[in-house]
Amino acid sequence: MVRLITHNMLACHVRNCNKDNFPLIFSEVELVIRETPENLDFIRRFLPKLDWTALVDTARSLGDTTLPDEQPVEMTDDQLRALHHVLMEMHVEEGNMTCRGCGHVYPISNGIPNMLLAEHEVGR
Amino acid sequence: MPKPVPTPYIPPSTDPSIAEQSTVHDVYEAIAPHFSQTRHKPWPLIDRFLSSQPPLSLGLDSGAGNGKYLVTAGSYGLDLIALDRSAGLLDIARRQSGRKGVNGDEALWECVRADLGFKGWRQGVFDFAISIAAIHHLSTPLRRQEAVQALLQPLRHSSKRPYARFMIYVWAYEQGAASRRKMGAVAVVPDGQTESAEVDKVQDVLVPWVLQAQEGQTESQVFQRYYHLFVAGELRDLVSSAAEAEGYRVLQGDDRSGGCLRGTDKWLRIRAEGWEADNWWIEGEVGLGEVDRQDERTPVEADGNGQG
Ligand SMILES: [Zn+2]
Repeated sequence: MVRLITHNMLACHVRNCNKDNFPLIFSEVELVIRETPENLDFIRRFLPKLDWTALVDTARSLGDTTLPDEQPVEMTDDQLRALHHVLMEMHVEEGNMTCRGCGHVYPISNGIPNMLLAEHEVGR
Repeated sequence: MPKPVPTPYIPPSTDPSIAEQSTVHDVYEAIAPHFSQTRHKPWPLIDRFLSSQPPLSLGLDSGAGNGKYLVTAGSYGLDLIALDRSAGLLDIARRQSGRKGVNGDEALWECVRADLGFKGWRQGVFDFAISIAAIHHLSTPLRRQEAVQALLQPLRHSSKRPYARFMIYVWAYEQGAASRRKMGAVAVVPDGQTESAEVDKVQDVLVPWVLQAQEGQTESQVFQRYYHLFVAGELRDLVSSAAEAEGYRVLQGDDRSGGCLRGTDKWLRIRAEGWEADNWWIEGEVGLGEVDRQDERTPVEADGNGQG
């Protein structure tokens, strides 16, 4: 259950990979929609931290086209609900996240992304 | 079988991460379910730290283990992401209670498998961060410092209240009289190494974990976990050096020099620290520019037995 909110916070951390290292690209995804209690205040609070373009591109790659290209300046409750669905209810259970910059693949298994790197790959 | 006792840790000549694989990571994978059964009750200071976070805050638990603080965080209306190296412990953590689903169901917690030094979080995403009884498993000063840096990097940096806060707990070298841990000064030193004065203060130890015989097995297994035991002042120094490496101005307690900070200067303030039940803990906050001291909340305080 990598939710898209978590995916929106994760970048590649391979040593010297600092271009196109975010967002990671999903592939071979098993997607599960889990209804989650709506908390629009939580979504509002997260808005300043959100990378909108990354979220929209990622949601579309997973088949959800409910979000507009540009982040609305003032979000209506309906827009917040659409955002809640994308951020909190779309879970990737299995699959891969690939870095566009260096090609590193982070596998997702049992809903848990594996961000471990071999010691020589870690940036210091 | 005699009860196993802690022994001094002899640093390897190879890469410390390889040694940690066998003395920390492999052990936790092997003992995960048993370890988890022994870790239920939240420590009171951490409970109070979490209860003082604004509702709907999003936090990071770095080295979350079985995720017992997810339950605490959930009870205060917080969201918390569990990071750990052990897949076995995360599998327990994700199913911890306290996260409300629909129709009264329980929902799963969000977990990420990574090292304590993980630098992949985007900056500014977390409102608070905790690292409880984890950083003492790293076997060099540099690796411990990198773990603290990794804890600070994704915190939200605000120019006004509420500032992002963090709390770190590590095992202490100094033990209370009632301690059930017998290590450090009393760790058994192998014969022939006792003449050196330094062995009186063994801070790097292997602590045994006895896994009772499971069904189908006749003998219990003993695993050795690596710990670095912190001495007084060491945790504060560690946080200070991590902060300086990250470009923070470090403010202590009532330090008012924050007044001459400019708008884009990052600062880190140590709010409180102490010793509690064989652990050292520290609580701090980070922000940008002039420190806003309005509406100061008191930091958590040790219940009676704090010292320093
Ligand atoms: Zn990369």
